Amino acid sequence: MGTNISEEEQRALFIKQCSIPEKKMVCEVPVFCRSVDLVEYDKINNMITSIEFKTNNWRRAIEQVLSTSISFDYAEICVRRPKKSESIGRIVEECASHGIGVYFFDVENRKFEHSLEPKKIGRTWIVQKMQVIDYLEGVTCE
Amino acid sequence: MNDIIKMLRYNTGTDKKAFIEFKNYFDAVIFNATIVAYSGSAVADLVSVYKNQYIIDPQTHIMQHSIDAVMSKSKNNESGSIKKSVKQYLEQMPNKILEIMETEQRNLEYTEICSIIDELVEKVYIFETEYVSKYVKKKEYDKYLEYANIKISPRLLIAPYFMLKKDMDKACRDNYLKLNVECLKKFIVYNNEHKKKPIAAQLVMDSHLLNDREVIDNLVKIYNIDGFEYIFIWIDDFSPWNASMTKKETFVSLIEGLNKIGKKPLMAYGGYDSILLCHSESKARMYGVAQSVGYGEKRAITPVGGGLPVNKYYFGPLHKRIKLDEAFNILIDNGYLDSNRSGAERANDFYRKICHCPQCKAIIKDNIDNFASYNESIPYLVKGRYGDINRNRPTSDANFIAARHFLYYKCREWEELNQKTIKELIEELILNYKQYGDKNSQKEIVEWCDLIGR
Repeated sequence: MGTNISEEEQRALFIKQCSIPEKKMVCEVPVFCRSVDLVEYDKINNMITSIEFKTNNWRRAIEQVLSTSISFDYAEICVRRPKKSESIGRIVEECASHGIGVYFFDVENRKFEHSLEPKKIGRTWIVQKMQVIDYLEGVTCE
Repeated sequence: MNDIIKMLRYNTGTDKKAFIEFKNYFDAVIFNATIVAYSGSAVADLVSVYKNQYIIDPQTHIMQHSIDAVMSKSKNNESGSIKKSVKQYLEQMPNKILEIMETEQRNLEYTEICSIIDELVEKVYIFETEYVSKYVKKKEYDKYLEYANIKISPRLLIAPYFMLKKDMDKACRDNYLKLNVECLKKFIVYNNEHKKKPIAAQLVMDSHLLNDREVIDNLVKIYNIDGFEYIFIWIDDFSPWNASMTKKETFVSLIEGLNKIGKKPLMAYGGYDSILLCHSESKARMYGVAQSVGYGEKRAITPVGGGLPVNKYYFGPLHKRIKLDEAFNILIDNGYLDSNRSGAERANDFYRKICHCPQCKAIIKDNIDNFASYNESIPYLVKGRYGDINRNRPTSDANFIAARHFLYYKCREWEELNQKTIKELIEELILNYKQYGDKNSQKEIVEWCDLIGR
């Protein structure tokens, strides 16, 4: 199987494999001056999670979720699983320090592993969160 | 503070409302010559409001840049034509300029500029002193101005100038430096024979040149001539706060050097970094700063253009415009958006510590959550790598309130020069950056403050 996969393809695969009916998945959600790759909307519990996809640049993914974090309840990143376990450890450690969840994408067998659960963001601003939810109510991701 | 000139730059029609509202707060309004040529009627309206406090930047450097910088973009990517505003201005200048730029589609060479210097000086002078009056005469209110004996006249005149570029070798740079001073001398002579207005030189250069103290010392020597009082400084995309230590030091020595030869530096595109230097106790003393309505505190000389419009807010304690997500993060980290306290209590804290301007009070009222209005935006589609992406852009209301707040805060910055010592202002700046800034900018601010006399 080819190992070249774009972030968009990675996201599309994620949606296919990880979606559940209880949660609405919306792509490219505009928040502040950015576009959040994917937002998971748990309507029952009124929780929203941002997920940034990167093939390799996990630091950038962390930077991006942190910049919009006040608009969400949870933040996660999804990156390619590095080959070295030290690299895996570094990513998990860094994300854990911020309370960010981690999905690793195994390029070989095209599967996702949820390696770290996110912690509830303690600095969500309800006003901004409601703006995001208003947007989500109006759109769908195909 | 009578020797200071607080200036506002006019760029587009959307600035007009703010310009008129703040007319009593600023001393002069600056227009780029291309805007005057293109929008003479709108400029005349603003000039009549500001009366004899307008300044025209002759932008003579445009003839030395690559022709691409002045071409309009054509839809099918073929070579376009010169932008209308530029063409209309160049039609007022020596014919040779437009002939070369339009017909031969290139910038002018040094020798070609030298050959038209006398005519250039005359035409620039006439443009700055008479062009706007022609439009005022066509207006209804001209008879009222005449009745009240109010004559429309510029605050000061800027001599033709050319940019010192980083890719010039020493000989070329020296040539352009001499050309600048030659234009200045001829402009002074012409002025003495005509309207006898205050004269300004304009120094336009790549920030790279601040790495060489010798270049700057030489420059100060060359400008040590009589007949002009002011010198505008425009350094490409430069703000001293986030420049290297070498550039910071050389910039300060440039200002000090100009002070020593009796010249009054004005920052053509400056922020609080320059306003602070206008304090009477500043050892590197500036005498005025210009910026646009809500932006323009630094600017690239050949505009890059483009970029997606984003909501920004001038965060007063940091004295800089930041994106709304940064602003919200700062407010949340400092407890302003903490719902455990009442919105009213947090609003009062905001007024005490962040901003109490009429615009912020009108928006926030007694509930800090209303601050979200500065982030009012509408989604639109942008072409991404893999298809269309949704982004937010500010509504025109959000742009307007952000601009008003910006101008109110600018007024406050100017007022505080009279109310506090420079030491007090510097200490306040450092404390604010400790409270609200990131580690990198805290370090840069301390470096700058140590340099200017902490």
